[in-house]
Amino acid sequence: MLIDTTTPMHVLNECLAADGSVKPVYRNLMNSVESLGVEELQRRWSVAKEQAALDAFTFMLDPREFRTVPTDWMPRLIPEQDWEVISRGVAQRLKAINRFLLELYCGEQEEVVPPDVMYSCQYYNPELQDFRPARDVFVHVYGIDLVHMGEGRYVILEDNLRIPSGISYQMKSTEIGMDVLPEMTAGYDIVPYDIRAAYHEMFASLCDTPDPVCVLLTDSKYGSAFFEHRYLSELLGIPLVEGSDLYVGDNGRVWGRAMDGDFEVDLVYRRVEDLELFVPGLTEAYLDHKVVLVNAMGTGACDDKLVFLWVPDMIERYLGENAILEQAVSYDLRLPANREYVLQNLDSLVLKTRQGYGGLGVFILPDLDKGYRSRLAQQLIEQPQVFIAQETLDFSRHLVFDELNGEFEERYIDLRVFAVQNGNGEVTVFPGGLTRVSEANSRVTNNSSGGSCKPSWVVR
Amino acid sequence: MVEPRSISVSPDRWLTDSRVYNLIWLGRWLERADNIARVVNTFARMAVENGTDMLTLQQSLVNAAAIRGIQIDDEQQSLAMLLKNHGASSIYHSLHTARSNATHVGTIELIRAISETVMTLERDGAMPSSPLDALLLTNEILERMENVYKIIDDSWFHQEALSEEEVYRRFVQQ
Repeated sequence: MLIDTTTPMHVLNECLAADGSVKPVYRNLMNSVESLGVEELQRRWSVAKEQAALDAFTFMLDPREFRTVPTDWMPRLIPEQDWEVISRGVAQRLKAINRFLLELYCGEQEEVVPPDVMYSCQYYNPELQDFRPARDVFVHVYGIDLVHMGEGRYVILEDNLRIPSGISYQMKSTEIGMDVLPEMTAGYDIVPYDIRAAYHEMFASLCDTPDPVCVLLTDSKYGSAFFEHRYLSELLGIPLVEGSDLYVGDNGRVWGRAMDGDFEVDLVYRRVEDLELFVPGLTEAYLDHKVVLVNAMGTGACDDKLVFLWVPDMIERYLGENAILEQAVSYDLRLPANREYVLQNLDSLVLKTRQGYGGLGVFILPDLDKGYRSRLAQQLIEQPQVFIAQETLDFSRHLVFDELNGEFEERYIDLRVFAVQNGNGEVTVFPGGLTRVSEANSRVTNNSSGGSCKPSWVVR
Repeated sequence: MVEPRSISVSPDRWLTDSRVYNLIWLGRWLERADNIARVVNTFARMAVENGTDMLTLQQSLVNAAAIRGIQIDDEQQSLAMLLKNHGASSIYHSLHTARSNATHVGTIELIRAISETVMTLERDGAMPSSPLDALLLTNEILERMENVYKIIDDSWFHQEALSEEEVYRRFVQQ
């Protein structure tokens, strides 16, 4: 037997119940895995890996090193009833954050997030004061990180609003997985989605011109997520441009520089953070409404991990609803009582820097040695405003096939779900999301911190 | 499914500066890989025909490389250096870099074709142990590169290729 279904599980596993038996939704998949056998699985894994290399399916940590995305091809299955809740929760949160940003930059935001928190946020853009983005939409593309606590209970860890990355990894891992392991789809009705249509609808609804010219701005082929930029440019049918390809013309509009004649650009789907560094004058063009930016400037204010604490209040205030998805219990360390609690419970909490991303600035204290914990505690005492603390969650694990020794191992997984919002305020949440897998003996799942990924299917 | 409102769908409509840059370097790196592969292939063929051993082939490759400005200090490593290990002047490095340029401007078919050629040199036991192995390996590389050229020629490049005169005219205009 490939997978041990006789030993009781001590941790939450997505595939196996507490008594070690296969959960109903995974039965067909496990049967397929069993009937393939170890040697065939190893062969298929190798073929899939080769396919990833052929297609340059990469996430490069070092621009000189061609590194394919480490992927476990056995899919994660999300029952449709779970997805229905996730989907509604994500759409609700996106709408509330968008309303908050609108009030923050265009109104008087003083009641939801304390001003000293808001204005100390690294990604708060004071130059956007009184600026309304096209169709009042700040958040066009949204990524949200969730963990599964079992029984369909998903908890939010953080929001990604500046340049959320990973949707192409969701699609490509599924594409290769289905191609190389078609047996795994047997017995499942997988919920489809159409990213191209949703993006086109979103781009077009944000522009005033018919057939707007949209481009995808990349930081270059040496960037870690360049695969995603290329993939989306090809999928969406829009030019892939670098900063040097764009300039702001005398008429204040953004132009593309081309040998066969320069062209005016209506919308920039930007996949870079520092706009001015890449295209001098782009910010001014944007503030003059001469170009649409996706995502809008200023969204990073809600990427801040301290602002995260107030999102349920945003939902209540702007939508008059209770949050559908709960979020990890978090502590504002500016408050002495919270600080005291955290210092007394260092061995059971996660410490995060407010502006960290990609797994950087995340310290899972129970997994660190005592000396490291003490040093962090000292930093926390000296600069409490730099951190937040969260309860350490014992979230779900999944089975990951180790092709070298032909065995399945357990690893922690999370789920990054992607959604887009168009100019009419309609939200599309793409079924499945990107399942990110931790390394052995770690709970950090970010690809830039050594994690891998897994296809995720929503199944009926 | 809602019919989306339209946007201008035209990824290849404009020859942007970065596309031109990557096209030029794609061509240059492919040419370099091709050139080195042909040198190794020719010398390996001669070695097979003359029945000479691996050491002699390696020695002759050091000289052939030197003529092309590629310095190889250890003559027993010359074949491995030209195939894979030389920092800038190996078939592998040239193809690897060409693929990087292709990811910016190429279709997935082109990227795959270059990747297939790169992977020829990544296989276990790819390094030849005899002149015949070297001949067979470089034959395979050159065959795969033919496929790369075919893709460029047939399905992609000719659609936007400009005459030298036209390219010059546009550069001068800019």
